[in-house]
Amino acid sequence: MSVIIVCDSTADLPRELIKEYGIHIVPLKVHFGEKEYKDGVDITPKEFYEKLQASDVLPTTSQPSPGEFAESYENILKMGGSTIISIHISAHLSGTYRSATVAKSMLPEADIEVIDSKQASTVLGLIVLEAARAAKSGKTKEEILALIGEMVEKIKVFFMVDSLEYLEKGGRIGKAQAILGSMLNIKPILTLEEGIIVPAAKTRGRAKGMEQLLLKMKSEIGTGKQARMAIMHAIEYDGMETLRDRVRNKWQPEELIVSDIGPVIGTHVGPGTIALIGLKA
Amino acid sequence: MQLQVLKGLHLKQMLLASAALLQENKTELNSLNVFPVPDGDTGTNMSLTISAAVREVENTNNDLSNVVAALANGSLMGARGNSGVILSQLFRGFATSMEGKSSIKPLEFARALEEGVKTAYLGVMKPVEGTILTVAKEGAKAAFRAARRGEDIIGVLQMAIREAEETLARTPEMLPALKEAGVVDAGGKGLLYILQGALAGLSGEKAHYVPEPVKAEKITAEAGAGLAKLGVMEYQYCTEFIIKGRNLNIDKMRQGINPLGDSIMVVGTGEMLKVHIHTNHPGQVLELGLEQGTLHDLKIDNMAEQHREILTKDAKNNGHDNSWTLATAVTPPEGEEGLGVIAVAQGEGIGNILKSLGAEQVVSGGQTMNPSTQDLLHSIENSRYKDIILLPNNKNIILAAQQAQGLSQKNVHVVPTTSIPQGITALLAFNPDNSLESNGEDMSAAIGGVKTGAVTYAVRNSRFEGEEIKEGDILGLIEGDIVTIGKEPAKVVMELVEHLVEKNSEIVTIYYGDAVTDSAAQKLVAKIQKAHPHCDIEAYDGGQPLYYYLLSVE
Repeated sequence: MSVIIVCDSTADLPRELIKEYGIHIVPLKVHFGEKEYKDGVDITPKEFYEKLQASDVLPTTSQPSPGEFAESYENILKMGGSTIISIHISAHLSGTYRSATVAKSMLPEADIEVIDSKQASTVLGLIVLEAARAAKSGKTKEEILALIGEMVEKIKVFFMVDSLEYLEKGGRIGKAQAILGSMLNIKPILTLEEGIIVPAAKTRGRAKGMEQLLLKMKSEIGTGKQARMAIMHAIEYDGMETLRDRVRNKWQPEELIVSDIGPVIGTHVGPGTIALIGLKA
Repeated sequence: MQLQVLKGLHLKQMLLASAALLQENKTELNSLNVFPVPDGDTGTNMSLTISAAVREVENTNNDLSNVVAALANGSLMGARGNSGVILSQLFRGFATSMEGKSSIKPLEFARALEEGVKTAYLGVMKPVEGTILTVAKEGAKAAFRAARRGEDIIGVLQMAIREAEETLARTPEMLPALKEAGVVDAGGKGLLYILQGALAGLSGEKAHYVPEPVKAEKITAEAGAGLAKLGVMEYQYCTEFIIKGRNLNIDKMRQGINPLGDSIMVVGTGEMLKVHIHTNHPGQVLELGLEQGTLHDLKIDNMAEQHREILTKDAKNNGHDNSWTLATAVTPPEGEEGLGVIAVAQGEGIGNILKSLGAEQVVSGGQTMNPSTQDLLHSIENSRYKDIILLPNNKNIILAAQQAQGLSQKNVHVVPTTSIPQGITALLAFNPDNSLESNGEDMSAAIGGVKTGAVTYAVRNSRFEGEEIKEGDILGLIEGDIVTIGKEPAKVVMELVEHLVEKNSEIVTIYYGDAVTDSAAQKLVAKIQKAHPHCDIEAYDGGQPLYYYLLSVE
């Protein structure tokens, strides 16, 4: 009896990890006008941001259909999987979780658990990775579900966007709406609470923003050594390198995952976004 | 002429003459500012403060304790600028020691002066010698010595004036900044005028006082309660009731309660009278009512407390018997849960920026027109929230803000911002979801992270660190200190930028004033950008008067 982990493409995990742990990914889609791309399949992050900068129209995104989820689930079951744990982006940010739930109801005989991670991007990715590692080491469905529940409670992200414009246009701005109208060029530090985007701090300038990311994370996870942390960025290489060095210095994490923010999440946060993820004790 | 006993009427005459003399010399006092910048004009502030006291005093009878209470109330509420706040504290202490007296002797007068000094020193967090405080202190000491020698009131006042004059002349020795600017302390000199005016008033000189053209705001109920908290409210209990009976005499009732308080209203017909009074003796007022008939719908509020104790006669159950029930009604706290920020600023653009960052209200005021304690209190009362953070954004408004904090019934925290850029930085750290205390801490901590400059002009000839300053010269200030003198605002900005920008500086922000055009500001941005390519340069139309540019580097 084997447990198979499924997630959607917003998990923004590096390809080699996806391969290593046999994680099944159902892609969301990005649309530039009439043209549709499957997230991470037809378009890489690099290609996406190049297109984004060249394009006059802002892209839009769409969730996988229930049919696409059902198809993936059926394929896994055919290949010999007995149990599926399907973990997804916050239901407040995307309809993906709903599609997966509908797909599960289309397969009443199958053993499928659909989970709303209340997170997005590599934050979701870390939860997925933890579940996949447990599955690979032969943990039972119950053990894995308990582990996921624990991760959902412990994981914390702070991210800095270059401007709130993308979150606003995509309708995902959440409680950060409150700081939208500010006339000064503010770099907001945001976080996710119960699956909703919430402002955590306001700074002027990226250097101060970076300080705030570290400060806010410290207030959540403390100063002790960390087992696992992650950084994700939307073509923000300089910032990523600075942050990576600071994080290594400060917390000496045993594992530090660095990943690109993919096309779907990138559509909503915009280029220049950088995020830091940690786990509370 | 000998004067052994001072009464309310004397004090009224003294105050009026003081206000007149201060007003006459307002411009001179304004020019005594250490820095020749258009900033926090001491003469204007003291004159407006004493005017507020005159307005209250003119509306009261000649009873000494009423006059001193009005003096304290009026000046406390009207206090503007640091010198105005200190003056109001001098008056408050002076008033407290005369409470309940109908006249005082020379020794009591001298003690009252000393009491004023004591209160003023306590009211300032870091008292500085060589200022109005020292002049007041030495003056009061001399007054006390004179009173002990047996001088009359006039003699006591004369000695106080002589000592105050000598102390004032010594202020440049106590404060190097005064010496360098070649001036004596403006606040101290203002106090000297007040003492001299008081003497003139006592001697029967006619005062040429013209009321200051400021909006006369009535002291509101809430402010009144705040004053009571400080122990300077005249009457504490708002007493209201109805008398029923036959052939009730309105005039007799009115005359009977007249000596017991103020805000008196007696209206009605021969069979029913409605009575309203603010008094310290509600019992005596009720007794006077009982002499005429039966009492109904009694209401006695302690204006000093949020918990109102309402004496009500339980008419339903007890009919006409004289049993009373004490009902304690808790007044709901004014304002809804949550946190509001009130900022002081001048200029439409700056006001809009502050509001866009979450300030609930922007009180007009700044460099030249400092808002009064009453103005700030008014905004606090008007806020929809019950917790308030106050950003004075000017060093000369901090004391008035703290005074408003002390007077308000709401929870107020003053973050001591001394410039607009500091206020903006404080607002960035504001989080409406956190408590008043933690916001106060975060915002106070944040203001250290920004360096601020300002560009204005010299209002008079002066000297600074050996350098000649001519009226009209352009002055560049960093954190309120002059660092550069020039002829062109844009050039002075460039020099300030060189002082302020460091290797790790990231953003230079310029708020240009109403005298600067958009294109001039854009040219300046391009110039700074060229000099500092690693910085982001942002320019905003602040619209502030007098200051060509305010800038911050972070």
